[in-house]
Amino acid sequence: MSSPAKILAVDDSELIHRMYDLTLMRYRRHGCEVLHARNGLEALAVLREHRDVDIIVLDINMPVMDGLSFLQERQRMQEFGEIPVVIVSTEGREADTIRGLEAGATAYVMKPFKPSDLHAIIDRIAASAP
Amino acid sequence: MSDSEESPFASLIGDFMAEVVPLVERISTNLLRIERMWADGSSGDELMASVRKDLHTVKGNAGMMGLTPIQDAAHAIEDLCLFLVERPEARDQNAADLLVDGGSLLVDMMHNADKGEIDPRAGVELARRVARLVEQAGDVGESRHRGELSEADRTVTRALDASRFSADTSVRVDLSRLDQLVEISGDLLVRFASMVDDLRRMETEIESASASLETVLSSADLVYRSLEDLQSRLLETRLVPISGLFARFPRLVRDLSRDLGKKIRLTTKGEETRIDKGIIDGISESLIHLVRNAIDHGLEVPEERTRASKPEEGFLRLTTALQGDAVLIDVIDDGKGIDVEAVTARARALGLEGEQLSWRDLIFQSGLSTAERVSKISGRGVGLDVVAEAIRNMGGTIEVDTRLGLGARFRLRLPLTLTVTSVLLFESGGSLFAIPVQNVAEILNLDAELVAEINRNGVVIWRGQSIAISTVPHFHAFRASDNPSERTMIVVSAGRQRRGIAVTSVLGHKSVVLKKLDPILGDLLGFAGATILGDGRIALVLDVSAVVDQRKREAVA
Repeated sequence: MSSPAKILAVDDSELIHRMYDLTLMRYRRHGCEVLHARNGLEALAVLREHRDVDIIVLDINMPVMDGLSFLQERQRMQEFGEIPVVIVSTEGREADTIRGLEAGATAYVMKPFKPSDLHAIIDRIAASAP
Repeated sequence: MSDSEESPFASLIGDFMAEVVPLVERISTNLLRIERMWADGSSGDELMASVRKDLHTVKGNAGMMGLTPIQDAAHAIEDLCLFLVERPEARDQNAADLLVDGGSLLVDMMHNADKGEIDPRAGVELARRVARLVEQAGDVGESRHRGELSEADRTVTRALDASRFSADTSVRVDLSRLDQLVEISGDLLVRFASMVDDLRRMETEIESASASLETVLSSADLVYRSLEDLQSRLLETRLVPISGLFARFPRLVRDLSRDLGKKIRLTTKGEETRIDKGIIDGISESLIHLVRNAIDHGLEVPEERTRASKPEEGFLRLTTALQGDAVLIDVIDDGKGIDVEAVTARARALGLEGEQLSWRDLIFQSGLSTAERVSKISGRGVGLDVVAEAIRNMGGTIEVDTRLGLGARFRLRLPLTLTVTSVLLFESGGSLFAIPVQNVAEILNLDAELVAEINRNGVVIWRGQSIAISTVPHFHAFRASDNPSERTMIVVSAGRQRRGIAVTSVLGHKSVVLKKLDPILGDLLGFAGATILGDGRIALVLDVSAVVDQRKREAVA
């Protein structure tokens, strides 16, 4: 995978979704589709519908099903277990980041992040993927 | 601010405002509730968990936007909250004050965020105050990492508030652009209605073509319905929940009651009611005025309430509800009420008693309300004339109800939207004019024999009251002796004042879109605007409050 074809962004903030749209523009230009979900439960539904998601960008604090619960679900359900997850954490919640990585997340980025921060991580994941 | 310009997401400032302003307003309101809960001896921990979750979101989103002062302020309050969760013994009035101040500061900063007018030092200053308080409270718990929440705490955080994110996505539109759209769709509607009228007329005239006309008419009806739909959808986009306005009151009530040594419990209902943005802007000062009056003059100090066998804590309630196409806003208190006798006595002293007005009208008179003495006697009244005028200008009404010793209720009744107005059309001197229907009291035949002349001014007796008659467009005095062509009189009213307008003929009711007059025309005293009718003719719309007002009228005539 040189460039991801589908990225799923999971966050309960509409603003952050707009930010992902801007941040991920450079992948979208190459035909990448950005999917949106507002919590872990919605993310699972999106994954069931789109079997070809390459990367998940995941917020931790969300209503209904938070990021950590989503990661646990993902581990239980083998079909999604392989999709790399980038967790998005905030300064002061380092403990969440550690738990997220323990629960199988591939990488993390700290808010506030710059587009280039996320690009670097996504490019690294894309380069290492089969 | 340079920070936001550097942010790669600066273009999203509109989305940021739409999402975060309601959030900081909720934080501020909840911090006030927490202060009260502490005063009542409850922990407020669940609410605190919800506030911290909101603060965390504000901090993260402000950070992404590069709005460092807001990020800092949210961070500082978050730290203070965490400290107070871990150290319940530190929850004193100082801590509560700092929480409440922090909440207000955050709201202020947010409201200026899109104008780039945030004081960069404000967040740092708040952080300093928090650090000082924590230090003074003898913080030794540095060992606990800030990010390490207890498991119980995390559960609460996780469980809370699935409601914040609402599924409806919003678009920020410049209000003036929206107004133009609403105006266009209103014009379309009016023109189309008139086209349908023309077709109907044709239908009766041309019997033979009636079958094909029937087809045209039925499709015209369909278009008309779509236009109505478009119009109402557009109007809906102007509607915003009144919660933003209500959110200002907890702080106001808290500060005022503290200054005056009173105990007041504020409750609100119907915050979700959506009304026109323009109306909300137009009534906010009035509502603040009514609430101030209730606190200042209506609600008593605890000792006085105890003497009157009332609970120490006064009751103040703000409610909003829809009734048909009107919005009702009530300001209710259980204070000492209005001394109706005193109002009447004062009116008599001012020579107003001959006008057979009840105290309900008198209380909104300027003569009564400006005198300092009256505010002491009546317990109310300062500036109520200003409030009443502002409400009337919005096309609304204000009513008052009271029982001496038990409290008072002020009720505002407002139209849902400002853009479409119902008017009475009339003709005078070959030109078309319109009067908003809420200002029309009665339509009479203008019988020359009934018109008396006082100082060369035509006057009639209407319901026991003598009212002067004017002509349009210059509001000159009407004189029956000149044998004019005006044979009809419209009695107009604004508040207590009435005036007769002599007209050639009354043409009927219409819903119209009111347009402001182009400034190039100068100040056309006596006219609020103009409207374009379906057939393209233009009618000037009278500003009745200016017409009936003695001083303004003299300026006009």
